Amino acid sequence: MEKVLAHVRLVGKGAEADLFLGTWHHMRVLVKKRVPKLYRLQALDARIRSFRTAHEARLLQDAKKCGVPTPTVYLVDLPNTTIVMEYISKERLKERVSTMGGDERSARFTELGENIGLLHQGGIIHGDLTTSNVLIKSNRLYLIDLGLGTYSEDVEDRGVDLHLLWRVLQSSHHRFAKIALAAVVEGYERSVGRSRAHSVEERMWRIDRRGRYIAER
Amino acid sequence: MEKILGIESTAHTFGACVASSLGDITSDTRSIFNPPPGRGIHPREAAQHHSRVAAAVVSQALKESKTSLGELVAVAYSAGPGLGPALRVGASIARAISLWSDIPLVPVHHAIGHIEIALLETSARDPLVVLVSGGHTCITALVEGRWRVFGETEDITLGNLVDSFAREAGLPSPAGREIEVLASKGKNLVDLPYTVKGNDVSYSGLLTFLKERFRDGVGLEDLCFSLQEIGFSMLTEATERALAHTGKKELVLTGGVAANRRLQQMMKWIAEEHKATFSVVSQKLSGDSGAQIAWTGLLALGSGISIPIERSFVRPRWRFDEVEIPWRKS
Repeated sequence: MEKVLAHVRLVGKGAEADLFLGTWHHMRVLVKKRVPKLYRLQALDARIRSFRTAHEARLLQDAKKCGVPTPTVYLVDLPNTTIVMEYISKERLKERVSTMGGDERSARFTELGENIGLLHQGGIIHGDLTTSNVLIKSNRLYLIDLGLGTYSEDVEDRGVDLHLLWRVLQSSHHRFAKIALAAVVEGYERSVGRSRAHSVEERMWRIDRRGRYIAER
Repeated sequence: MEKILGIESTAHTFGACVASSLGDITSDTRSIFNPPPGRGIHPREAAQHHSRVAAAVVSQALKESKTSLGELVAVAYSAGPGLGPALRVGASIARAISLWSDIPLVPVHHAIGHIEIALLETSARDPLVVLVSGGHTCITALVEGRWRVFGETEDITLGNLVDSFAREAGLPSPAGREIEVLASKGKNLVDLPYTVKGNDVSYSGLLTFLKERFRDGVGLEDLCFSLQEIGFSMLTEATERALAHTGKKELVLTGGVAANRRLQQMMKWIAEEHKATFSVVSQKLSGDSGAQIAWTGLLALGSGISIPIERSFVRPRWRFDEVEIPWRKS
């Protein structure tokens, strides 16, 4: 791998992986290396990292087949728990939410909803839908970080997926949370159709009420 | 210097404390209801216990701090969340004192109490807080006047996990210390579900598996060891995600389960990894206490918060992200 991978430099430290930029066969690539977490027992840690690396590579590929923009996977180096993938952009939706205008915000979240809908329609659950895991490149959204994803057609899992996003909207973007969610639901409906979107949304609110200490329960 | 009396009675602990506006905890008295080994807390039995000990605990707290009822500027009580019957005991006593001494009555959210008492002990200004107790397992930070939830358990809490498993294994409750001691003797990691969903965790599957393995005859020490390793790793991972997402440079661990050394060790590791300072609530103030209610009550009172007796209901299902925190700038 080292022979073809060049000009590698560390560009970021995520919660579970170090991110490097480099070139691979003259292409600009992102190298995601899941690093050992010393707080975990070694056996447990190795199991988790190796599983997620293989799993994420597969999910990124399968998401693409559903029509959802994701980085193209070039290489999986399992012993080093590393994925070499297409470099997309450093612009995350997270930082852009508060600076963009209202119309653009609605359009972005509708697009995000469409992507989530396509993913769910294809039997994939993202598992970590935060605004940090959505990149923007030439006016298009890309979903990344599918390491916690699963394959499921269960309405419960779909509801949990959307609920996670709802929680992120409330904690990180609470001024726009309701508007953003409405846009997401609208986009989601475009992808999966009205009745399905309705049952997933309904489940999402049920999950919300299931949380601890809810007065109206 | 102002003095306030705080009364705690959300679950197994009936506690009373006098705190001063200088941040001194001048007394901290408690009586803990211990159900027989193998059984959990029955709300009515907890309430009966609290009624029995209440007068003595409150008198003792006043005596230890050399405070008379007349010196108090207010009385604070834990208004929720918790067991209804248990909460009502503390609230009734607080109302009586408020009426008798003609001083304001201040409702305090129990979880905010856990957070504030930890912050009183540390110098953290704008931290990410991990609250782990019988009632809560969440990752939170103050954003525009409220403690917002960045991650939490989707089902049972870490305290529930520990206590429910302990009950199955016939250990006395609360069992945190016991489990930690047993875990330190365990060596083999039992294969159990590790469930992280974004910033959230789920412990109910882990509990089911732990109980099944126990019935299968797997050693208790190895099970306690695996409970800690897997259960704590999950929360630590979720916390690390929240640290990365929020970019906070201070991490604070609080609540009853914060007393666990292994959990402290894991959290400290991720704090260092993200160049954040790490602090943990002291052992003596980690569990439920009147101190957390008194101190938080004093902060709330300073922002003009009090409640008329006729509206001083207890709120067994009160969520902490509904509580306005006017005394902290965010």
